[in-house]
Amino acid sequence: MNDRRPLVLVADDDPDIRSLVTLRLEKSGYEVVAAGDGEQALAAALERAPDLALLDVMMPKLDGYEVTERLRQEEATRHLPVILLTARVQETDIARGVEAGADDYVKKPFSTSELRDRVQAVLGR
Amino acid sequence: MTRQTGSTRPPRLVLRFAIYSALALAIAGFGMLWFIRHEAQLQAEHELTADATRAAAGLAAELRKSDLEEPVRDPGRLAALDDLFRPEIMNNVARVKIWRPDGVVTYSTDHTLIGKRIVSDEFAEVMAGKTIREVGHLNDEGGQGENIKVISAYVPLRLKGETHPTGLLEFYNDYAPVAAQAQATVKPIAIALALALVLLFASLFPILNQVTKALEHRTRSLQRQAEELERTLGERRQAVASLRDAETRYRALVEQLPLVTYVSDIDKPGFSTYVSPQIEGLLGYAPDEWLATSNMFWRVVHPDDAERVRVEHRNGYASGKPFSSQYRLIARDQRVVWVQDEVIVIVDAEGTPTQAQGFLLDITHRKAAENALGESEERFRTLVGNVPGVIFRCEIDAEWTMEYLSDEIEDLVGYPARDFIKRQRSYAQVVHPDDRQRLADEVEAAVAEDRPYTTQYRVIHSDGSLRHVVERGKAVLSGGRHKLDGAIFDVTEHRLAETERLKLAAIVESTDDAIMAAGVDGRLTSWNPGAERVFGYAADEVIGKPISILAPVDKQKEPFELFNRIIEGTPIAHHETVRERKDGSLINISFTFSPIRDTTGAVIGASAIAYDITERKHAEADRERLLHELESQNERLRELDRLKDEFVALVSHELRTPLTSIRGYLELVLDGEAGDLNDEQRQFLGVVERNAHRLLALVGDLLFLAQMEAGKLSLEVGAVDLSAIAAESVETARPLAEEKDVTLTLATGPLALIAGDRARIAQLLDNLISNGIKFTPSGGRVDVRVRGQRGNAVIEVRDTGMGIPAEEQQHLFERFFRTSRATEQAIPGTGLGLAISKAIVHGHGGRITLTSEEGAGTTFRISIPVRQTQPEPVASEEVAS
Repeated sequence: MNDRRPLVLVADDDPDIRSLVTLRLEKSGYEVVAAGDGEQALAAALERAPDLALLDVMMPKLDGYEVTERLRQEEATRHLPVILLTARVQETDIARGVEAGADDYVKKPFSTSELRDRVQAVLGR
Repeated sequence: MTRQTGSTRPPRLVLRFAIYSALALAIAGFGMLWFIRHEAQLQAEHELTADATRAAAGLAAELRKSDLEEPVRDPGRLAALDDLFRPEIMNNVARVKIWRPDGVVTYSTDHTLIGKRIVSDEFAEVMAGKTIREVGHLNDEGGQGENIKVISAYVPLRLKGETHPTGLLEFYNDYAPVAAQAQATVKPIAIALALALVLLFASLFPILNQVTKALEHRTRSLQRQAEELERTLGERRQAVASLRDAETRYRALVEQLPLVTYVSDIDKPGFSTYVSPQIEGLLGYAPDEWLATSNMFWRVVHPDDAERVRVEHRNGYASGKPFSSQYRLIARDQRVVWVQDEVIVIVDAEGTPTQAQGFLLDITHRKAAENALGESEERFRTLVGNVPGVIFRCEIDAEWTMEYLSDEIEDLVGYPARDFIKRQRSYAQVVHPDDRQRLADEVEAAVAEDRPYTTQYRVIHSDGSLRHVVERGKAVLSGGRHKLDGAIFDVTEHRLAETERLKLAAIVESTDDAIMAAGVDGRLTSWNPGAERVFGYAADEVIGKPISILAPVDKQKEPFELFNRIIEGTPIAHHETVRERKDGSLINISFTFSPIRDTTGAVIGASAIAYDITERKHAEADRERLLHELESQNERLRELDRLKDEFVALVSHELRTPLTSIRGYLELVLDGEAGDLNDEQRQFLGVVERNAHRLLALVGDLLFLAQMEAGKLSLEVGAVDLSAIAAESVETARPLAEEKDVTLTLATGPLALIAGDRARIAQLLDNLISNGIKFTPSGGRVDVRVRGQRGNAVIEVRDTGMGIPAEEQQHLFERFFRTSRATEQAIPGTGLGLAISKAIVHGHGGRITLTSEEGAGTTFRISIPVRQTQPEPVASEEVAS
């Protein structure tokens, strides 16, 4: 790896959660780009080419599934690792996420240290 | 011979044989003895002659001429001669004499015979140069001394210088030693011979005796056989003679008989050897023609019978016994002739059939008669068979002995007619015991009055069922005796029908339903009490009235329209309409109509069953209304349910998001990310965190229940080590137990991994253990046991708490249910734990039960089947994602 710190896209419509995740990841040595809705997230992903995307499922404009699907359609982000954050833990929701192309999901409420561990796992650190 | 018993004489042949043999042997023995003696004598003579000849040759020089010419008297000369003829010199010869050729003895060693003349014819021969020998007796010469046997040898004497003999020299010797020597030689031989003879007899005799006796016996039996044979031959000759006689006679007779006799070779059936001339009369073929034509028989056998005849004859021959066969033959003029063939099979000494003899009877007429009789019988049978009953003729006796009984009896009592006719079964026995005497009495009375009778009684069928019969009969005179002719009819069905009719009538009379009937003219013919009650009319008020009497004024035509449809044959069921009672009130009626048919199927009226459905109509209206109300309530409830589901989903999501923030920031703060905390701050924040956890757990429980009720409970199934989970749960609960001073123990037994959702099972154990601790007072204990038991994993959580009252146990697993104690003692809880536990257990295909005693404690027992199979693929994916 080069000197650049890994860039993580964090998308959540809840600013508190967004800040919480950002704070925790930055403290763990990641660079974070945050987005408040699906469209912003998609734009940020394409513009910044992050190493990982943490997407909340329930977001205005585009939900997490839709963002994931779009990312998978774009050449640049086809292989971008995606972790979904969801409060919905029914089978159908999980299946939907897998179908859209997510690599993992984290159930809300989550512990920030658990989230950090998942991120590390996906980025291979 | 000593072995012979006194009773049987030795056979003459043996005696004869013995005697002849003895004689022959004796002769042979004597012959041999004689021969030996003779040889001995010859030898002695020969030796003596040889001695004499030698002596004579030697004496030629010693003797003087005077010695031979004159008897020697001179004593000197005598002494000289004596010396010359000393026995020692003369080889011990007894006496030596010298003879003059004229027979005068000139010298003799004993001196007595000197000068004597003994004439002998043989002298001349001796003088001519021959030596003679002689045997004689001493007393032959001179007659003195003993008369002993002697032997002499004479040889001519020739003096020296003379060419012819001038005297004779005699050597004379005793014969006794020679004889004795011969005797000694012969004696042992004779004895040996005698012994051999005796031995031979001793050994041969028994054999001989036996053989002889056997021979004699054989001879005697041969003799007897010969006599027997002679006699038999005589008889045979006589028999042959008479047979020949008889054959001539019988043949004449046979050929006169009105039947065809025949002889067949066994290999060629069909009168192949002999057939009597009657064949011509029977079939139109002459015997010669028949015998000359090969296979004639099979040409004339009726084709329909040929195979049967073949089989019968083959079997008959094989059996070797006489048999009879009936078949048809076709005569030359194409007449069909029925014959009866009586066959006798002739077998040889080994039992092999060789010939068939027999005769053919023309039974054409008999067959025709039989057929006619058969037809006549068949006609009678058919006629009787058509009678719907049993026809009989019987004796008037205790058994009703049947002389004739038609076959229909078998339908009636299950036994064939022949059983009764052959007296194997008594008709009286099939009559019901209670009816026997009455039947007998009634028949007796009718016979006495000479009138026909009709009676009813019961018979017992072989299957055990009872049949009712009517018997009609009359006594008739047959063969000088009274017999009973009659018929028996089965009326069981009539009686059953009658009984059935009475039963139905009773039902119709007693039922609450209105039942009525009308004739084809549309007028009422029946009216039961039910109808009276429903419509208010009594039977006599409506019978004969048109059916429209029941219709309201505005519906007078309706009953007839319906009636016409029924009369056409269409039944109508549950027709609902309105009728008017006698009192003028209208009632709702449901009619069920049926056409009434006679036995030919023709409709002769209609029946109706009417139900008063006025009340039912009201009830139906009520029910309809209630149903509607229920429907709308259900709709509201469903709406509420949906709202509740949405609410729960919303709550769980909307609550979780802020809780995530709360927990996340608390974590940051407690981790010191926002600067150091003092103890008090840390303690307060700890309270916040604990309550955030409680809230989170509650949200989780609510969501779980919502999923469960929606049937959407999903388990993340994997291999689960129950013992490990139990240990973790116990350790998690330990601080709480210590805080309450409750002893918490865990005992685990051997247990296989089970297929289950690890998190849910942990939740289940947490619930049960924390419950146990919550409801157990200080100083009590909670014991957790996990073990395998017969293919199940069993978890037991036992506490020594307050227990659960029996009446509350059944509600224990209901949502939000809290026991009275829990409420009274303000033990915190939502009433969801056990409902969730139960759902988890059921989700794993297990069972949860409890036993509880108030004041003593409660034990929850969970049993989950151990599945050996791996988790299902779908479940695996869930785990992976």
